[in-house]
Parts: sequence; structure tokens; C-alpha cells
Amino acid sequence: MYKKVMLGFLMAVVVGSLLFATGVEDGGGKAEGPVTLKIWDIYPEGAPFRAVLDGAIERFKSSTPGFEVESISYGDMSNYKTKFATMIASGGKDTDIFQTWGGGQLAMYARKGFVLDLTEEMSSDGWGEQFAEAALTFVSSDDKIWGVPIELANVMFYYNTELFEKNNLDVPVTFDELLAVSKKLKENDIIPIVLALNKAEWVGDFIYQYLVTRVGGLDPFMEAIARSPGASFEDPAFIEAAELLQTMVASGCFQEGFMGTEYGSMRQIFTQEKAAMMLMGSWLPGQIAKEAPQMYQKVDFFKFPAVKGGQGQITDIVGGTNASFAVLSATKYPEQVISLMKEFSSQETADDVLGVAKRLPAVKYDFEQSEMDSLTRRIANELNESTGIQLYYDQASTPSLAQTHLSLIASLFANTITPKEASAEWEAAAEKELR
Amino acid sequence: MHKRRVLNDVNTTIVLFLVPAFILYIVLVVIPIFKSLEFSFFRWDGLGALENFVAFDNYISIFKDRIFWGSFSNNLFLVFFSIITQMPFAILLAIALTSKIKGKSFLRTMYFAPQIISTVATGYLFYYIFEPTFGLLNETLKLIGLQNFTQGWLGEPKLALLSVLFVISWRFVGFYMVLFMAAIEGISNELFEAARIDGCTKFQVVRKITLPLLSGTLKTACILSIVGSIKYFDLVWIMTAGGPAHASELIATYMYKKTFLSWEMGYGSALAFILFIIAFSLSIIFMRLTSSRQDKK
Repeated sequence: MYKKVMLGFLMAVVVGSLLFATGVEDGGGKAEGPVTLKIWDIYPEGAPFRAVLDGAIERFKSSTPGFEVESISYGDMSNYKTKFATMIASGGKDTDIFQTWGGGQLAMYARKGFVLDLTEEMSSDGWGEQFAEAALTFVSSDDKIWGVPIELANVMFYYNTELFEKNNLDVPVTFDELLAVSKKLKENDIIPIVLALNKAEWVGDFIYQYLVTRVGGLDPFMEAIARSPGASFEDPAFIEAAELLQTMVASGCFQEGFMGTEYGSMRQIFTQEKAAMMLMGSWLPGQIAKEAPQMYQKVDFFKFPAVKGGQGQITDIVGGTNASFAVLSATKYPEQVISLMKEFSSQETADDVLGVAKRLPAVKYDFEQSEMDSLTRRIANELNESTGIQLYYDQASTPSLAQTHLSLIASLFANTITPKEASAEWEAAAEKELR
Repeated sequence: MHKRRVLNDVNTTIVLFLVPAFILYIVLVVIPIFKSLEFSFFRWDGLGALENFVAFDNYISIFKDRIFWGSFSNNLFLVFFSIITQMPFAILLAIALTSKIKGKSFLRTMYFAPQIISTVATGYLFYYIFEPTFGLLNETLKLIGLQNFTQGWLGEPKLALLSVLFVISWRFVGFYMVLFMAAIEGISNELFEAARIDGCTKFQVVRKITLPLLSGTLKTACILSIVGSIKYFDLVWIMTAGGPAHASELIATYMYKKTFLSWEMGYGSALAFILFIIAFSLSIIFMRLTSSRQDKK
């Protein structure tokens, strides 16, 4: 009898622990002790933006006793998106706050009910009015606000002033000049533009987005993605931009084997001064200041050059928000989460965004009063004085369309597809996805 | 008293011990397979309620999808490449390491080490070897005057898959080596002694005794390698994620992208089911082959 009881007991323990293993954690911390709010982001220990978030979290903790905050950092965007997608697919409950890039991706999660609607909070106590113009449009869809942007980013051509001086080069203002500068640099054994397309098609997409914007202005993409009558991704602007892109590849603007380079190595090549130019978002200077301070003084930037006969203005910029945060609707503590989010948009946080991470705050900010170096100030000015902002294509699209687009961009760079074919495939995917 | 006898009954004990594993198997393997079969009949994003029944549309689109055929042929190439590189190397190493040479146990550990290193670490290790601008391989080629042979190893559509396959083989040779070593050590010593007395050369011993007696293990190893290659995912995902432009795409990586990056859960499930069918039929063949071998004995 004893044996049987023991055996039965053992079986119950084994089976029970298997079946209920997932249930334990949920009920856990609720009863006693401090409550822990979770944040998912991409900023590991040591990243400049980590300090910005940690500062805001500290201020939140001292004003909200009984609450702890746990940050879970995934290091880079691709990694993060993979984990995030899996989390959403399993019900979207593993965190309270998550990082987002806004646009079509956030809109999709919002439409499915995973995201907490912040519209009312934003309008109730002037929270919404603290943000700079356009900042909230990146995190809004269906007339609702779903997220809190902390910073705004603009993509610019960063360059090594010393390498330019040594080779007697002027900053290129037109596309043809960009090709000429690249040719000269290449002759002198310097990589003209460093690029990375291994698992990072979005880096190459920056170039394409700027080319489209310079050739056709902001309208072609806006109308094609909205499926306006007569608009399509086969618009001549998309095709001409792809041709220019392939011209850049053919004339050796990028380092040998750039298709195999990973995003992380790109910055290394730039800071080791093997490459003269790098088209990147405004998070780059802060990273360089931290990782290669000896090189920071040599960095300056210029606007993406104009294309002859193009419709776009040289002051149109590609950009968006990279550090935005939204709340899962499954959170158990919406009130506290929202007060943490409000701390994210406080002036103190904005001070750190600018001072520590050298990035541009998404809230209205008095730049004249702040102490910042001239590079950061001038980059901020570019954003303030821009004539239009093109939100990153992949963020502006639905996930599936974004994947198709990015893979076509890689094919264009690898020369395995013609500009016309790429446009046709993009249009076919959009037609299927957005109709 | 009667109850005790039931408990002591061997069959009851076996059943009782199998139940936990069986429940796990049902919950984690069997149910998901049928679930994904069900999902594959929908055009569904995986996030809301299951909707948009499309019958076989996903399967029809897959058969028209050139990326799917590209990844399928990459998978076949992976199977072929794995067998022709891993098996001969593994057998050679196994023969060498079961003979009387110095430092045997050290070498065994060395050759088996790639199996133990985490896949992610392996991926990054080789990324820094293949990196085009400052990677070890290109730098070495430049140093010895072969700069014409430098390549963007992971970035050239024609080379990316080969480069990753090289790493996969590097990783798995040690595993098959151990398999063959066990088989060689299982061969009766009398056979070798008899051969030696009859005056066989070492080469003859290998050709006439070791290799024929390894054929069973070789079959097993080949089938393991085939099934593993069809389902392969991790190193490709870490090193190229199927890029550039799908040049190193495998069915498993494509399935992942469709399911979790594009949110086409229905399409991804259909891909998963096709992958399951391929791997399953190969496993059946594997069983047939091994059982017929045992029958002959």
C-alpha cells in the first residue's frame, strides 16, 4: 500500500509540476513585497541611452514607493524584435512596458488590442502638449496615441573631417559630387561609405529612402502606402532611386563585401578611420563619444546630397523615433506604469537624452539654454528646420510588407534583381497586403 | 494483497513510468503538429482570433513561391554537402584516434570541442573570421599575398551558403567521429589480430575490415545527418539569417521569418507542415533501412 501511495504521490508531483509550471510565476510577486514593473528595451549596460532610462527609473522609484523596475535589454533591434514577436504570439503578458519604433508595427499590435490606449491620459493634464511637433504622429494610429517617444532621430551623412581634409575633399552637395568624392577616396585606399547588410537590411534602406526622397519628394511613398488612386510602388521615383543605388554599388562607394558585414562592425570600421562616411541616425555621435572619444572631434555631418532634377528638397529628412515606449494592455498596474511613462517625458529625462546620450529629446526643449556641444546642437537644428520627415519605410509599413521591402533592398544591393522587378514585387506585396 | 500484485506487475510499472514522458510528448509534439496543420488552412496573422479560412491557398502559394524552392534546394545542398564532407572526415578521424597514436585523449577532446561550444558563440567566432574588412581570413590572405582571393564570405550570394556550411561541418564532424569511434571499438579484436597474422598492411585492414563493418553505423550517421540538415536552423540564422537576399535561406529560417517577422502565421504553419512531412518521411526511410539491416543479421 505504502509503495502505491508513494508512487501515486510522485506521479502527481511530476505531472502536476509539468502542467502548472507556467502558472506559478504569474501569481507570485503580487501578494507581498515591492511590485516589479518590467521594461523591455534594446539598451544593454554601458549603452549611452541606458543611463537615460535608468535615471528616469530612479526618479520614478523615489516618487512611487513600493515599486521596483526591472529592465530586460536585448542589445539590438533584430534580436529584440524576434523576442518581442514570440512574446506577443504567446499572449503578450511578459512585460509591462516595451520599446517600439512606432509606425505600422505598433499600429498592428494596437489594432489587435495588445497596447494600452494613452489618448485620454495625453489630453487630460497637458501631457500630450509637452511633445515636439510631429513626435506623437509616429506613435499614433486610428486617431489614438499608443506610445511615448523619448527621442527623435534624423538620419544624416556622418563623415571623418580629417580624412576629407587629407584628401582635399569638399562635402558633396549633389549626388554626382558624392560619386566623385567616393572615387577619390577609393583611389587613396579609403573606404568611401561604410555599409552593413548582413542581417541589417535597414542600414541599406536608409540610402534607398533618401534617394527616393531626393528624386521624388515625400509624396510617392506617402501615397503608395496609403493606396491612393493612381499611386503605386512602381512610380518612377522608386525605380530611379533603385537605379542610383545600383550605380553607387557599381562605382565602388561601399567597402568590399559589405553584404557580409554586420551592423556592429560598421561603427568599428568608421571609428578605426578605415572609412570616411557613414549614413546613420543621430544616435551615432553619442555612441562614438562613448566608444571612441579620441575620434569624436573628427566627426561632422552633411545633408544627403541632392539628385539632379529631383523633386525633393535637400532639407527633407529621413527619421523617426527609436526610443519610444508603449504599454501592454495586460499590465496589472496601469496607473504606476503611466506615471513612469510621464517621467520618460520629463525635462530631466530630456536633459539626459541630450547631455548623456547626445540625442534629440522628443519633448519641447529650450536648446538655447542647454549646454551641448556644437555637433549635437547642429544635428538638432536639422530636425527642427526640416521641410519634411520621412518615417523609416520598414516602420511605416505593416510587418509583412516591411519584410518584403527589406529583402528586395538586399537584392538590389546584391545586384540579383533589377530596379523594375524590385518595384513590381514591392507593389504586388502592397496590393496583397494593404488592399 | 491483490493490489500489490497489480503494482508489481511489470507492465503496469512500465506504463506508469511512461505516462509523464507520454503526456509531455502529446502536449509538446503531437498537439502542436495538428495545430499547425489547422493553422495552415487559414490566412491568419497569429495575433487575433483564428479567421479567414482559405483551404489549400497557402500550400498553393508555397508551391509558386520561388523563395521556398530556393530554400528547399539549399536544404538539399546542405544534406549533400554535410554527407560528403562530414562522413569521410569523421571516419578518418575515428580511425586515426582509435589507432595507437600519442595524445589520443587530448585530440579526441579537441575534435569534439566544437560540439560543446554554444552555437551562438560559434556563429560569432566565425563571423569575426569571415568579416570582410578586418576579419581573420581576409587579413591572412592579404598577409600571404593572396589579396585577390579575399571575399565578402558571408555577403556574396554565391559564397554565403558555402561559408555557413563549412562552419556547420566543422561543428558536426566531432559528433560523427565519436559515433564511428564507438563502432570501431566495438569491432572484435580477433579480426584485427587475424588480419595481422595473415600479413595485411594497415591500409588493407582499414579497407577490408574496418570500413565494411562500419557500414551500419555509416547508414545511421547519414540518416541522422539528412534529417538534421532538413530541419537545420541555428547557425544559418545566427550568421546570415538566410541572407543576402535569401541566398542562404533554409526552409526553417524562411518559416521563422514568415511566422514571426511577417506575421503570416498561416503561411508559416503550412511551411512548417511541409517541413514536417519531409523530415517525417525521411525518418521512416531511416527506420526501414536500419530494421532491414538488423533482419539480415
